[in-house]
Amino acid sequence: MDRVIRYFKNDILKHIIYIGVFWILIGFVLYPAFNTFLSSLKSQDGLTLKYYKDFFSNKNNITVVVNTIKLGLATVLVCGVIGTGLAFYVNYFDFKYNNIINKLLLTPIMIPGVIIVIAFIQLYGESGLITSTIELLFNLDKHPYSFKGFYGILFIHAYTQYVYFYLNVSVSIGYIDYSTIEAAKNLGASKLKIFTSVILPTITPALATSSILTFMSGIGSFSAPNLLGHNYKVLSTQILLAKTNNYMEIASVQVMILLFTGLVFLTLLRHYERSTKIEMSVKGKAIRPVKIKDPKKRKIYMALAGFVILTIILPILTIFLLSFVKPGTWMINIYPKEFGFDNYMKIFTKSRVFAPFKNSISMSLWATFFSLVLGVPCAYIINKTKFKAKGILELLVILPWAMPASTIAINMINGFNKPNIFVGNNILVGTYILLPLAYFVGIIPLMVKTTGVSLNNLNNTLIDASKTLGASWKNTFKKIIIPIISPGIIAGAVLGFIRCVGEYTTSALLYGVANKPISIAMVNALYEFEIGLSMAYGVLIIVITSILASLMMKLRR
Amino acid sequence: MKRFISLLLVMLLAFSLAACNSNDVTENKDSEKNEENTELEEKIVVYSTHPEDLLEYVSGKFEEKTGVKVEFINLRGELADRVRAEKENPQSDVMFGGASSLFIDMKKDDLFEKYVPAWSNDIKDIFKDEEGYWTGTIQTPVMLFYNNEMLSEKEAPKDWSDLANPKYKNNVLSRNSLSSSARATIASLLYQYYKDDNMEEGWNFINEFDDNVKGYYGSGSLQFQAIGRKEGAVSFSVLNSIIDNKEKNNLPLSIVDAKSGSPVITDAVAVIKGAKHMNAAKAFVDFVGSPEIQAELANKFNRLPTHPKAIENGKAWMKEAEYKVMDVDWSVVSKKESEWIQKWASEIEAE
Amino acid sequence: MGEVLLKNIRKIYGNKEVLKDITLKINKGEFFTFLGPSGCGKTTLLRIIAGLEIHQKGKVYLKGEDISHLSAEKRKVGMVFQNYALFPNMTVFENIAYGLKLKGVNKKKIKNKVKSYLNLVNLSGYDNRNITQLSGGEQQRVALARSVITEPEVLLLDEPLSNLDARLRDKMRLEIKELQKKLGITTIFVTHDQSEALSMSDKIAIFNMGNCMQVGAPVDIYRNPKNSFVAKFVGETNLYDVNISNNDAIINENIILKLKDGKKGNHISIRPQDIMIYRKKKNLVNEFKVNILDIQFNGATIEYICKLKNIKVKIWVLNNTFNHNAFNNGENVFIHLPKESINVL
Repeated sequence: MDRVIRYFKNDILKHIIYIGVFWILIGFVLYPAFNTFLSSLKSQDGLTLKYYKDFFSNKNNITVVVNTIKLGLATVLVCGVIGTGLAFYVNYFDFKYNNIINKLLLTPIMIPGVIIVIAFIQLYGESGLITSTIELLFNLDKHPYSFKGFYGILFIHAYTQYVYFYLNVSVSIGYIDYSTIEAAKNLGASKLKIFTSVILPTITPALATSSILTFMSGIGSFSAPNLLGHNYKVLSTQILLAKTNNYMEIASVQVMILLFTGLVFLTLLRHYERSTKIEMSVKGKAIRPVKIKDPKKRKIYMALAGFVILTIILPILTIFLLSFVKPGTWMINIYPKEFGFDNYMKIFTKSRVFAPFKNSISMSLWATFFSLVLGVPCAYIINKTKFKAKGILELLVILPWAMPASTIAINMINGFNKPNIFVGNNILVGTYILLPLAYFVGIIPLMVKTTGVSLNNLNNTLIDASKTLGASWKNTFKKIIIPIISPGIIAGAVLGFIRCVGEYTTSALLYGVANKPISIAMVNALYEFEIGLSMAYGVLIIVITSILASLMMKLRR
Repeated sequence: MKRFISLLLVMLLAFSLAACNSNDVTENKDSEKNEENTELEEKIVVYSTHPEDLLEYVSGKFEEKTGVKVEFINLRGELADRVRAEKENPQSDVMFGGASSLFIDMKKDDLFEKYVPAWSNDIKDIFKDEEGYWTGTIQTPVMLFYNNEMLSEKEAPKDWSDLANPKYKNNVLSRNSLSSSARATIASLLYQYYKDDNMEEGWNFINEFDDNVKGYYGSGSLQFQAIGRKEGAVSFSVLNSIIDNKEKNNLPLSIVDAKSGSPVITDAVAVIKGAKHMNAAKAFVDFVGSPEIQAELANKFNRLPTHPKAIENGKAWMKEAEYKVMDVDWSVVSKKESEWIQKWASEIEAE
Repeated sequence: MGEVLLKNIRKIYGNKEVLKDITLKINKGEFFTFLGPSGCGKTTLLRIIAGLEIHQKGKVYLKGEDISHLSAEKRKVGMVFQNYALFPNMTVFENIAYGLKLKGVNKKKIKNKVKSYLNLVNLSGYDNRNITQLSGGEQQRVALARSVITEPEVLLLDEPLSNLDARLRDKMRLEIKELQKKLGITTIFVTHDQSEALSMSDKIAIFNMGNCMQVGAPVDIYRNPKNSFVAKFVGETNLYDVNISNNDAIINENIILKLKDGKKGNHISIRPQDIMIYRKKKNLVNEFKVNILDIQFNGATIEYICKLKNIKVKIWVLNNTFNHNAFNNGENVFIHLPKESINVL
């Protein structure tokens, strides 16, 4: 009896946390998605598959779906080749500046997609800076290339998404057992054989994980197809179109298709993740970087490296440069001529112009904070307890990853445009809080994953040791658990914050008067021809994310 | 180091808490006041399709006059959709801008509050809703135009049908299907075929037009930048944008007075049903369509007024220029627009 | 320092009975070892004593007090883990001081005590070192100091030497034993290494598949195994199935061994070093002619594997200056199994 009472007392807090966690996940992730699912099936006479049938019977719609998947796959291929190639390049050759190159190669991750799209348009568009320079230099009559449609979007994806492959493959290269390579060489294996039998198997899990992540972000891509014109139709842009035309059923059908595709690939991802866990425990001789001795080869290597770096830095430099262009001075000329601080002055002196900046920061802080409040207990339950329903919890937590940003936005609208019990019977559509809520949903998987990794690094015996030394639960948490996992949590929080602050797609669908975020302000400025102002916003975002990213790097030490 | 960062985070959090709270506090005060008095609330929220500079100007003037703070967003083509989504819990008070066809359609969904401003007496019937649910403040003709450094007057198009003429292949620039003016224009053009019961020809025309289009643009500025840089010669846009770019940016543009006339979109204003700041909303409608303000918009932003007195006080070209007006039944267009645009956008636009 | 009493401890994990019915007494100040192969339940039992696992049936007493339902942090036990479990976010000093700080001991006292315990484990001056900079042996010593500084009633050690290389292991065996003697603390040591258990313990409890097979002093367990598992697990032995009748043990119906009076059982066990081996027949009881199949030189001993009818017998002979019994492979020799050396199980 004693034991029963003690069990309950200890567990009331535990029960509250468990219930709270499920409440939030079901209310904000599952229920909205379910509503969208319902609205794709609802008509006046009850449930019907009519909308799906109509959708698929139209050839153009099928083209849209095919386009979306084609774009996803092409993105994976291109990013895979670039990212993996770069990973080998940087990790295989011993070169003085490799450290700097490594850091530079990671920069695109800090810049929100929409900013890059705008920068690319200014560089590679039909009358863009690079395009015109090439034409001038080579005296061309016709444009050397067309930065529109499929290839334009693919180019942008290549720039922004190779980072997954680069990071993951770099890490797994570190696990290649060099003694196995030596043994293979000894047995007379050719270079190709060594690659396929030793190197490839080790990096395959990384390739698989990166492929799936890249695919999911490729199919959900919105800013590139939207801003580069409507030449190449994909599901996300069509969702916006249907919504604007008030064809909500069609929008819901499209959202469900996108979600379904995402879920299929998410399942693949989890399957690969499970088999990866076994690989990582093997330790052997790490691969030793090879020094290039031949001076000619060194020059080629340096030239290549220089070219790669230039391509990566160019958009960033462009953004900085253009932020100083005086408003209204760049309509006809290819190269801007007048510069000044006007744009920055505007941002910091006019409150309407400053507001988006303030809005993005505070919304991102809220979203990050609450995702931690939810994420840490979730990660703990999933990784450190034997809770029976933790499989369901894992699924709920990961679900937003299968949801491209436009999906999350539509789900939010469908979920909260009527009184909703999960939020005390309130309607949230149009209110301030809906957008940060959408941000929050979007970064839940990220938070839970990074906290989970930190928790996994926290050996259970440390908790046992603390207990045997007389520490209560509170003390163990305070003195042992939190200090050990906090670098990981902070890293996750920083990444989450960066993602929210530059987010565009969900924002475009949900923002209102009170919470216009900086990404919308940027695009609006672009539309109203204030390219300089747009870039100035961009610079501010980049500055903030860089500071946070370097803080995060420092904490990892 | 870690402590410092956590302290920083806590401070930022507190800062954002404060920023958030200030919004909520004013909300509560306003909804209390709304009961039966005619006192103006402290602020209003305006959803619009007009650009930032125009909105800033109008808001500034309104605030000066009444002390009511104006919060606005330019939602462009997504305006109607946002108002619809918020039907159960409207966050806006006034819908300012957008084609009359849109207003006609939205009136059916019971989204507006009936309100007849004083100045509506003097404007023509075609510019307002007969029951008083919306009123037109700006006439927005959509005109064909071209870069006169790329085409001579002889080579230039003479009518809308020329948009499908193969001699302009890859030389036409257009707004995309999310643009409210483009939608209204395409819908008006299709209406010409619809009224003769000839939709098949209409869709052929749209298809051929699409073949000629070099690029679809998400914004007017990008469209005009492209024309200025000679990426294409022919385009169409709202008259005030063309004039703006000629005057301010010195673009070499010539306007075409189309043989079959040009569609004149009426930009309207309406009070949102269930608006939280009802009195101020009505005051805003009174203000923004008043002949004084219409005249100022004419002179500063090249917006053609609906009020005859404002036209008198407007710019010279407004009084003189007589562009042929295309015959469009906006109530029919309002019924068919969604369907036509959906078809254009999903099946034809840049295949 | 207290005594530990375990009564009828039963633990089920899922649907597996990990500990069946364990009753043990560990006396005050004793160095008591739980010995057994992996999966036998010894670590689980240790964790039950620590309060880190919950048992389904039975009771745990410390110093006469029932602590079965006391949470781990309230029990006065110190524990050293196999991987040391040192807190990576703290220095050596902070690790060792952890338990004292929780008790609210004042700073100065802590400082002095930590210093003296660092001395005790031969790590003076290591106060501010980061634990990631320590070697395996050093980490272990910090873990030890940390666990005893709070003066617990019992010290629990969970295979603390498994992660060390052979030479270091031998050294640490001595150090742990010394520390224990110095502090006089009741200690329970878990290991799978029987030579470790034999050399360090006052008493050993051998476990197999959740059962306690035998408890006793090392010499006792070695010389008088109670069952064939113990006989095989502790030290080397020759083990045979037998039928016993009239004090005769019959192996395979064709080998008869004479036993001491009144023994009953199914097996017999005799240690290799207890069997005599010689060339000329001596006509002793339990003397057999055998053929040498294999000879293994083990430095201090020589091992002979011999064939007796259809069984194999292993014999150890001390290799010293006076014992030159250099037999050859394939040679026929005689062996003698003294009655006193045969254990009936």
